[in-house]
Amino acid sequence: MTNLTKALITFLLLLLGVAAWAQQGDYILKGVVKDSDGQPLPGVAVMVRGGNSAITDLDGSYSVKVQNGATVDFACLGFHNETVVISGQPVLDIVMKEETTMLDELVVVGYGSQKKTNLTGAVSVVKADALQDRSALDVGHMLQGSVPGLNITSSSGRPGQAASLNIRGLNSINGGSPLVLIDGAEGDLQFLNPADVETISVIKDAAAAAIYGARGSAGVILVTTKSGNKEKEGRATVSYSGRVGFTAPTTSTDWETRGYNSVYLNNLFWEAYSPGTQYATYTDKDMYELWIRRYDVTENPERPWVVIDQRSGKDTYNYYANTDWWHYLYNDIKPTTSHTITLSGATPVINYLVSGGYTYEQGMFRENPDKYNRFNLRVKLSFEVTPWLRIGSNLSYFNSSYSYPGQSGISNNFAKSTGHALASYPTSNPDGSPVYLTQYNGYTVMDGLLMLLDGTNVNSDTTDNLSETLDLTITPFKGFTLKADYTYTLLYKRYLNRAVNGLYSTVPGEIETMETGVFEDKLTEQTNTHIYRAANVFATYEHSWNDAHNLKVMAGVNYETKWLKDLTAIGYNMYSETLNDLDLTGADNDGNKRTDVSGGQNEYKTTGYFARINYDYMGKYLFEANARYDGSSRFLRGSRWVFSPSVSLGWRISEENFFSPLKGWWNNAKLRASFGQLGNQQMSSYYPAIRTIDTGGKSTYLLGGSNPSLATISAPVSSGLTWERSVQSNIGLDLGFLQSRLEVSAEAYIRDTKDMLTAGEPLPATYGYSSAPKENVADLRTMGYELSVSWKDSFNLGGSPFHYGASVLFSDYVSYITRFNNPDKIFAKNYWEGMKYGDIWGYHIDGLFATDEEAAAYTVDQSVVNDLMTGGLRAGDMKFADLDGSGKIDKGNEKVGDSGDWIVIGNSQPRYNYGINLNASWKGFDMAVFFQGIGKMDWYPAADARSFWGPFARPYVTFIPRDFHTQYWTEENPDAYFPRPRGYVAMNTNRELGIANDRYLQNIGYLRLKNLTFGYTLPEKLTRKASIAKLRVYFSGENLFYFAPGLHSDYIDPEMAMTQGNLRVYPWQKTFTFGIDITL
Amino acid sequence: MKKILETLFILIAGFTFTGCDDLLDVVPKDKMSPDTFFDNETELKAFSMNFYGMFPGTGLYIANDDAYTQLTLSDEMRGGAIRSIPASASDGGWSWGALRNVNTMLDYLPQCEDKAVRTHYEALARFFRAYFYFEKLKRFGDVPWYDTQVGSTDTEQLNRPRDSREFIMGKMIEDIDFAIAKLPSTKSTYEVTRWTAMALKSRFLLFEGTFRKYHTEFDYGQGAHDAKWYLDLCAETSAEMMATSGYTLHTDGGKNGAYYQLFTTFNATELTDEVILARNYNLTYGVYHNSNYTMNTGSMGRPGMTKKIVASYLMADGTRFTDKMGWETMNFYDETKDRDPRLAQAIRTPGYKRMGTEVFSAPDLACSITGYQPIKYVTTKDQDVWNGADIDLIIFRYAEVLLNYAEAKAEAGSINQEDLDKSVNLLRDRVGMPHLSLSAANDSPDGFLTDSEWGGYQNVTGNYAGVILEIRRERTVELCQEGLRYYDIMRWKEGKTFEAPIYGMYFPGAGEYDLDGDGSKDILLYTTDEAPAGTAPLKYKIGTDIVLSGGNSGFVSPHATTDRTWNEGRDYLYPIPIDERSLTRGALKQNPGWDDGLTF
Repeated sequence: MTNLTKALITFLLLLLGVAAWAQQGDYILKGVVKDSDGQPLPGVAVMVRGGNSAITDLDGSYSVKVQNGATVDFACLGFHNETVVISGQPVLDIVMKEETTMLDELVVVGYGSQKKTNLTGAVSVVKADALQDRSALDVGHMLQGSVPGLNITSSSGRPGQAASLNIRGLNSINGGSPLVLIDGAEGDLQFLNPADVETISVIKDAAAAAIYGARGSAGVILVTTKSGNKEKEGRATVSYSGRVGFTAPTTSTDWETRGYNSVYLNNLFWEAYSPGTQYATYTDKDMYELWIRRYDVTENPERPWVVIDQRSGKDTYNYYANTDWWHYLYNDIKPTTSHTITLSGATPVINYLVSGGYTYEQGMFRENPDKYNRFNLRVKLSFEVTPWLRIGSNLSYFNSSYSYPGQSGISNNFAKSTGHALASYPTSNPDGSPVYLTQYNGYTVMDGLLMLLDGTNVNSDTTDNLSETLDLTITPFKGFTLKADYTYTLLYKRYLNRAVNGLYSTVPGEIETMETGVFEDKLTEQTNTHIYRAANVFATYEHSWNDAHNLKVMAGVNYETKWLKDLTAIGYNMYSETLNDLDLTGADNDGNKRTDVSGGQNEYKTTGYFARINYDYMGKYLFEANARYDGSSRFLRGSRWVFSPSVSLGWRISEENFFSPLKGWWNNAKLRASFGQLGNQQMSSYYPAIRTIDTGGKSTYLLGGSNPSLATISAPVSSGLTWERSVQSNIGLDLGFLQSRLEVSAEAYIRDTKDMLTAGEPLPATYGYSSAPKENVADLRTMGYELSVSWKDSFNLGGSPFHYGASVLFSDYVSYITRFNNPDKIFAKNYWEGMKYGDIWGYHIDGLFATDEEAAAYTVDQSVVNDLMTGGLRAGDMKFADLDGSGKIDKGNEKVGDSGDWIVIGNSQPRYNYGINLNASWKGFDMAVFFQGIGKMDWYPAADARSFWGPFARPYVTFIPRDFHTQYWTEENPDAYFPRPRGYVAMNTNRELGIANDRYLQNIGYLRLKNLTFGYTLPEKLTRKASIAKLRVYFSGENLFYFAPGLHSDYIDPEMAMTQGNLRVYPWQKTFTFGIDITL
Repeated sequence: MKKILETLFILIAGFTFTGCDDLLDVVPKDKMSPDTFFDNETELKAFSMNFYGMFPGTGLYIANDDAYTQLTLSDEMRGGAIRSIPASASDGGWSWGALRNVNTMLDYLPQCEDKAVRTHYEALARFFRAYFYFEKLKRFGDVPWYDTQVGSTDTEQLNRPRDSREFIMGKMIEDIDFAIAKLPSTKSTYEVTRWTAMALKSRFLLFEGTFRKYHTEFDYGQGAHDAKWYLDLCAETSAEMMATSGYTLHTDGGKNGAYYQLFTTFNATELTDEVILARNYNLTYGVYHNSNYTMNTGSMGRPGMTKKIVASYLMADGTRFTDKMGWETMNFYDETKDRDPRLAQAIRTPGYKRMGTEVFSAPDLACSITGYQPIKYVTTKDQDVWNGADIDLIIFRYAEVLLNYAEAKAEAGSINQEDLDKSVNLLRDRVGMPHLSLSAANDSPDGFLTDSEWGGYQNVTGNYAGVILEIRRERTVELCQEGLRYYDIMRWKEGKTFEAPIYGMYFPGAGEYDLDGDGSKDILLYTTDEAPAGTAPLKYKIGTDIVLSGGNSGFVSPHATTDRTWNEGRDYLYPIPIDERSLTRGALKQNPGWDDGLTF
């Protein structure tokens, strides 16, 4: 017991401002609190109801003032509470019983469960209560930041967008995502009702994943759903959880809305690109008209926004508007709501749980909003047929539909809105017709988006997922269990996309029609059917002898198939604009009905045999071995099977005799180590080893009439194609202090991905294919570590226990290519041995030229990066550093070691992932704050990332940051961030902003207030009267705020930049909800 | 240990689930296997559609050479150090996928039992193999010959050195002769026929004949035929086509409209008299290009015909425009008056109206950097949007065969007046131009066409120099903006022309100009700091927005400051990409003048 520990505890108490104070007229009760082993327990809260409180010191002793007859509560995390009514005794010693749920709690692992104390692999657990207040739509997003080493990203912010999951970084250059099993059957987190989740185990190392063999090489996420509660036998529990709220963009939407500025800026950048020409041919008089209206937020009747006059011999619309395009097209505030009802309970024979959920979220499109609806249903039953036979059924149904206006693919619509709509254009002509072509240039306003959003172009994506698992458990004699289950999952996706002709007007009174491209009148209906079947049979035998040896053996077989079938039908020239059914396919001008159909199907089958042995001696020395033998239909006979063995060891140091002196304050210490090898069959193709002729294509060379059918042959395949392997080692340390109030867990790992499939030895181009057949010829190493520290405690505050906790999660990893056939390390091959994965190469910028003279005096040849530069370098241009002194900016011979001025300027991999969780509850009030973020990640804005580059990308951007005119170089603004104005220079790698450089490299590391929850649970004595067991109301906010100091923009969510470099996707959203939980 | 466990597992697995491998044998059910494909006409046709992708698309109207210029010059035009040796095959035009498809079909063709079908598709495949090799030979000279699919382990074939140019030509002639013999003689606008094959043969023989005549610096291989042999064969092939094909020139629309009609008719099926093969576009099926967008917006490089080419058009009476006094400083209106009617059908001239409108459209310098704004393939305004044009593009037309014939005869030194009358003069007749006279041409070769100041031809010599120059003029005028000019310059060995100044319209100084004489001002040039008031939609500051050759007056000179150096010893052939040289360990020799620093 060190002074440091004492000081720490004292400090914590002071910090929290808690001190017991004496009360007059009472006597002092003293005593010692011990655990069942007789060890003194420090830090136990001793709370006198309605009075004051104390904390046991390091010897477990306490003293507190009490009155005779008072009730005293003893509370300590990890132990059952003890309550004693005082009857005048001066000394009260207490023995507290440990809660089994702490260290002895069961953790779900593959084909079974295990005591947490006995775990030897790297497994993290998330429990239902960590998710219950999260207002993200799906479980995947809720997991972000809550498990070290589990990385969650999203490819857009649209309602219903599924999260992408990754465990411990890059698994293979061919990708690969974790296996997700819901109650043992392959599933999708997106299809889960978050309220159904009981626990989630995230399996990160090979030892724990080896039981899944080749399916688990990228890690495994095991979700266990709630079941009827046996403990409350005889009573049904009904609970309702509902919330309403709204979503809003996470970034600024305060774009330039002044027509004058919009025209001026785009023309300025355009003219610098193409001297003497204008993007929008507003005359000087027109510009004056815009200027006088620049403060008109709404149309001033004296200064109309559309003026009709005679130009080129006819009436013409002149546009002088100040249109806020963003808020015309999009809503910032959108409603969202969700409701779940759960009925559960048990009788001596049946455990049951029925839950239903509904979620609705409205999207940002304003006039005809996009809408996401989701229904969940789960019926989980378990029957005890005889004492040795149990039958279970787990039925789940998921339905979602996302309907949206415009072109197919919601992000396409968003992308269209980013170009060719000047703020000077009105949202429609005076007669109500859409604005499409203007007199100012030949470009189409937002590529016709205004016509597409009229309500007749409709789309819907519908998903139905029905899954049923039947299981059978036989326990013929003690210690032996045989389980068999069969799962059938039907996933049915339906897409409907309707496009109609577009009507627009450029000249008053003349309506014109667009009939081609996205305006072609057609109805597309597509279905994807996925049928998944899985069967598992496995037996477990457990035996202990001599009170020392504990053995558990499990073995089984798994068989799975998946069949995917696609069907697409398109009808053209529909009879109706509002009814959407292929029976309404009309006729073309020749009277012919025009339709298109296409199909497609894929299939795979896998079989695996697996076994596991667990042995421990006295709970001190732990041993586990897993093995699995997998065969996959993706490979040909001879290279089809892969063996995945693993072994792991654990040593519970804290159970050793020599450790007992420390036990008073250091209750748990465990060292773990594991090693294993897994196969990986995840690859884009279902038939990578078979050469095929694809006849589904259509020729773009026409022979007069419709597209002729086109047959293409797939590239040759290597005959020996086989599994990638992943060899992983992991060491872990689990520590618990102060009766596990402070817990520390650390992991370190090395994962070698071997024999990655990649193009074989490069072949001369005369071979006829751009790359050689794929072979198993590359290796990758990922090294990383994870750390989690948590503190939980409670003390008496104002007569009631104040519970609080804090936890910090941290993880990091780096990956290197350790084998790749590129001995000269030429950049063209993308990878080379020793390459750090994610490195960003670029040029170094020595600032902007301050004067024309300085620019002219710079003799270095920048022509490689100044393709659009006419008239030589000038003030405000970027000065590229000639690092190799060659007199020319270039990449040398384009290989490592001979790369000229081309250097590593950053790395695109996320580093230092972290999550910080703070929570407290007191007297029915509860509060939780959850921060999540990454420490560093470099991002070079992609070509055409318009919300970053503005008119530097294209001199016709719709959404220009409101302060953009202060951001670029002018003589008056020589310290500006961006160089002198010029359009298109961020578009190609031979232009100064389009090529990566360190001046505009962004660090998108961020800290995000992921969740903030305030709740209040009504006192039970009040709610009891209404027969309500529990009633809680709360506010929960998701993604409320972010801080990204390295990102030079208020308009870009760092998480969007992570996955969508060009930024032209549905924006990220934050959520504010108010909820109520009622349990009857 | 691992092995033992593995064996144990396999044993258990073997006992419990026999035939597991059978269970895991899964083959695609939505795709054919190569071994069961290629056995009937439908399948062969579907596969042969891959070949058609070799034909050019937008390259048929987008040019960047001495005749049509753009905002940014091509690397070929700039030359010097800008032309570097590309690293990879895909950057350097050294891709062989298209040939692989052809050879794949030829290899699998025996699976088709119908002999007539088999022969037809063999002929089609071999047409495209000849087409493929012509493209490679134009670009690289000698190349390796492959007539079967190469396996990934066939190192010897993969590292095959270049075959001689004579060998490749011989193989191309074999292939094309087979195609001519076996392809159907029924005309087809979009499918390859005997006549397409014959037109291709005429084209590549003229290329090879003239190339060998002017490029005496190359070794063509053992037993190489001389230039005359190829020229004679070209003349023979072209004559056969002229005699037997039944193609004529399209004359509907008359002298002021027939030529224009060729490039403004949406469906080439209406032009079957002259068009041998066209590429079909159809917006309905999502197959489009951007001709209108390219020619009528400011962001597609602002293509424009050059002054040199505009000046080379004859007067309508057959006299030379460049013989007129003060032709250089004529304003646009006078310059384009009474010219060969094809000028007004190739660029915007006074009186031009957009197809489908009744409004006069003056040349727009914002869309055309020289002011000579191209109008071929520019159609109705509704197709002005991006990806909005679907007029068919012509790949082979009969006029070219006539020009090939005349040029082959002239270059071979065997041309007579009768030859001209049945070729060039038919083209003249169509536009109402006086006939080209052999003797008159030879008696007074046009000094403008050989004027080095203007980038004229430097290598035309001999008794037939006069007529050769006139035939080149005719070819340049007739086939302008049809994708042939760059390689014409290459085969004539006239790359130095790329160094000559590139000019556009002439402007005598600051002021407001009405280019087409319709009474409204089209452009205002100024030298003051701020643009003066004026009604013209375009206001250019001289020296910054627009560069004039004489400072404040002169020809529009868009590339006055761009260095251009043509390397005679290097630039007629493209370099072999560096990676390909390494991958073949030097088996592929580099082309002359290109130093990639690699030694083997």
